[in-house]
Amino acid sequence: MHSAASKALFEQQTSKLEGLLLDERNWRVVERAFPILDTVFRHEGRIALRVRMQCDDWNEQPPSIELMNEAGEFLAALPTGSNVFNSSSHAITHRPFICMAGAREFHTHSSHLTELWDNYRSRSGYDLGGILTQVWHAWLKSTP
Amino acid sequence: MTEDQVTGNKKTDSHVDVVILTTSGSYPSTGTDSVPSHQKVRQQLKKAAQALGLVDTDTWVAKVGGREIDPEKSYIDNGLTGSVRIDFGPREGGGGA
Repeated sequence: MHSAASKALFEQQTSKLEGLLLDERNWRVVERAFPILDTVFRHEGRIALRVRMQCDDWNEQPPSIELMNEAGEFLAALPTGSNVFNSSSHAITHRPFICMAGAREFHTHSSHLTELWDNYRSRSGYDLGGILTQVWHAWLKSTP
Repeated sequence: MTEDQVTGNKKTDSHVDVVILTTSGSYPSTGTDSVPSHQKVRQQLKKAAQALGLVDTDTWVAKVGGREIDPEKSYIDNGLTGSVRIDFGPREGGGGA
């Protein structure tokens, strides 16, 4: 996709991440400037999770999702209790990763090469806000 | 009569004031809709989906105050009164490498 079109789609799909929604979900948007969507999830009694989505070439390819602590340091191990969080080293990023359709690391993982992003990207819940929401729901079910 | 926990206003039990929050926007876009308390939550979710251009939302999760509610039940049957903020979004997909 042309970069300008990618940027326009990014801006359209992230423009509503504001106000009551962020309050209700206890999200803090650290950065929202193409191609980066950087958000912190907080929840009482839990360690915050920072989710930085690298959305270059959106939506020809899914976002690469980086997982960090609130200070921006990459996590060496991910929350447990949800198979969306995979603490093994990804062959490309060499870091723990999100193993869920909609994350670039899923679609480039050797176990999922046949699960093409093209089959997901027009589905409900696979816009940028939808993917972020899916990661959030997985995080809420995980520990710690 | 119940007391709205946010504003302290007295309200009748026959209606709730509802806003639906999604990453694609809120419905209504400003303020709230007054909805019969006995109405199924699903009805307002469908209105929101139509207004916000959302498709295939039947499997999405609706939460109020972090608690998942049942859209096929009414506001009353979900224990909801007064001002109601519904957080609506897709469940996480399956993972596993």
